[in-house]
Amino acid sequence: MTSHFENELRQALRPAEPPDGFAARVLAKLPAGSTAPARAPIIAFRAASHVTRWWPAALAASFIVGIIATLMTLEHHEQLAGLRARQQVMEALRVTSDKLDLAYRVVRNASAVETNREEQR
Amino acid sequence: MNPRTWLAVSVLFWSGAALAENGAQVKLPDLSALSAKASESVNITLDASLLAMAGRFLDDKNPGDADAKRVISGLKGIYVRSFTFDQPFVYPQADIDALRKQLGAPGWNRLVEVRSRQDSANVEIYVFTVGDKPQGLVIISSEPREFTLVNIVGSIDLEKLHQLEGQFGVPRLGLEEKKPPTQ
Repeated sequence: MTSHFENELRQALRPAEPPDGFAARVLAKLPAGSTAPARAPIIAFRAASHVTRWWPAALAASFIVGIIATLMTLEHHEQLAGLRARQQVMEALRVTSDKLDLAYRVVRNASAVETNREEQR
Repeated sequence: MNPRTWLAVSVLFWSGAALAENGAQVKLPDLSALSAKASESVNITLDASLLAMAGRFLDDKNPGDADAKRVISGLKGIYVRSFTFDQPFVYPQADIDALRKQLGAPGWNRLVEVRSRQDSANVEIYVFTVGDKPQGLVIISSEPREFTLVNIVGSIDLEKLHQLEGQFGVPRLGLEEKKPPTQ
């Protein structure tokens, strides 16, 4: 019973060619000036294909722009880090030389005191 | 030389180089408590990569930058801890003694120890040598209102250090001659 029903369903839903003049009769029943909609599907199809054609290019362009922006940001961060490192080097050398100078002054003062003592003898 | 011998020599060579570099770097005490009490503090930690980066940003056309670039060219690290206080401050002797204990390790020699009652200043300079070449420097400086620790790791050219005279106020010290500690 089920197979008989399936067969009847297949038979009813099988593709069939329209009878002759079917398209003309349908168009004849359309209101006057309604030829434009017949073109709309074609324009929509062309627009869709236009978008479809440019979509990979737009995606690639976005990807490249993203990479460039990332590289520029990394370069900027590296420049800031480098300038900060340079500043720290100069400060470190300044502190080091300041303490070496302190040692020098103390040694020089001690030497001067020793020289004065020897001269007084 | 067979491959095993070559491998053993390479391992020994690079181990020695690593030990030399590691020996020149001391563990500076944690002085974060001093930061809270200091009116001004300087905390600088520059390893080899940061020094290389800084070198790229030093302008060769600027005399000061050029001199600094020459000084740091052979260095592997610069570490500075410096504190300035509004009032005379008593520094943590235990931390300083722990640092001095590290400086008693082989390779380290005290180059200068100066104490001045007039300036109330104590300055100790230690040098780490491998063979005859200085590969590290430590300065311990204490004044009534300023305390500073400096550790420099790497090939220190004392002549280049001399050439900093005028640029950072470094006078000729005769550091190549060991000065007897002044008491």
